[in-house]
Amino acid sequence: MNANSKAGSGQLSARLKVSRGRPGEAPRYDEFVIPYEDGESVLDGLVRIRELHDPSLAVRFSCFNANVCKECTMVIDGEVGYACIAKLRPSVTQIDPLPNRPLIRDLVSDTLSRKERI
Amino acid sequence: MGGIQVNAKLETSVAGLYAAGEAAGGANGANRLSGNALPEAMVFGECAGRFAAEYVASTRGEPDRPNGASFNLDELNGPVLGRGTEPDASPKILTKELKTLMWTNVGPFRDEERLASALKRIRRMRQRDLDDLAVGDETAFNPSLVEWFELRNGLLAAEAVVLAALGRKESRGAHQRTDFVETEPDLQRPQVIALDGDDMVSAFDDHRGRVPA
Repeated sequence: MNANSKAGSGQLSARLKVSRGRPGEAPRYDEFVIPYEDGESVLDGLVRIRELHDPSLAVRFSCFNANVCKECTMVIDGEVGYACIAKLRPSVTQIDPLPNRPLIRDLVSDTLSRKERI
Repeated sequence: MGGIQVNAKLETSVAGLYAAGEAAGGANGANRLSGNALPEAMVFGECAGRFAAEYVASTRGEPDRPNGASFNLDELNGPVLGRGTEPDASPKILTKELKTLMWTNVGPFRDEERLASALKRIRRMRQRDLDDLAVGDETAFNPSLVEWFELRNGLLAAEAVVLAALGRKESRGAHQRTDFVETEPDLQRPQVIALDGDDMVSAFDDHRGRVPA
């Protein structure tokens, strides 16, 4: 909504350890340090990684922090959750794709049920 | 309120393509009541679906292209993919600039100077800068590629909005010109924005535009 807000203007910095790679590849982790403001979500952090460091990072979201669409479901520090609800913090946060769904790339897995497929 | 031009069957100028709800223009006047968007989408969405089903039943069931959409996807993606993944030249950068420009120069209160300045910048982004952006060659879930196409579409929509606002030298409904504060009875008619080659043009006289009668 606020087109004038400038990303990365916060003083705090978060460390995100992000699972990368395609199906069949040995999984690897990339660690990113990003600036944030208190209260920002892990999804804010992932989007900021794409802006500041690596636009090729694959991450799926739709409503973007409105907490309604469930598209950003992933594993955050070992627990399945929504990246838009989990908060950024100064220590390391590890992020993985859903374990029980086919991996597409990086943090994106195939979450469509069979009847939703074309 | 503006949108894609449709006829009474919700047909656009592209055969077989229908538009309804907030994507389409014409259901409301110069402004709309908050909350009208949902009933509009449901009523005209159902109409569009019924007319689209009629259209499909009227064809022989032969697709226009033998390989479906894959031909178009290759044609669309080919020129965009594989220019690199530099954060400084990602589609996100231009998208941010476009959003800020629309917010500051093209809000509900407009004037010639700020609109003209926005139009100049948007045209340059659409016709020049878009081609210089970096998009990786990733084919499995490539968010930069999606953002590039969203930006291309956003620039088309932004230019149409600015051109329409510049052309309507009056204030009416949600469109308020600080340099033309009165409502002009002569301008109580639609303005049609269309692409003429790569150029976008505006006309008050061609009411029907290009949709089928």
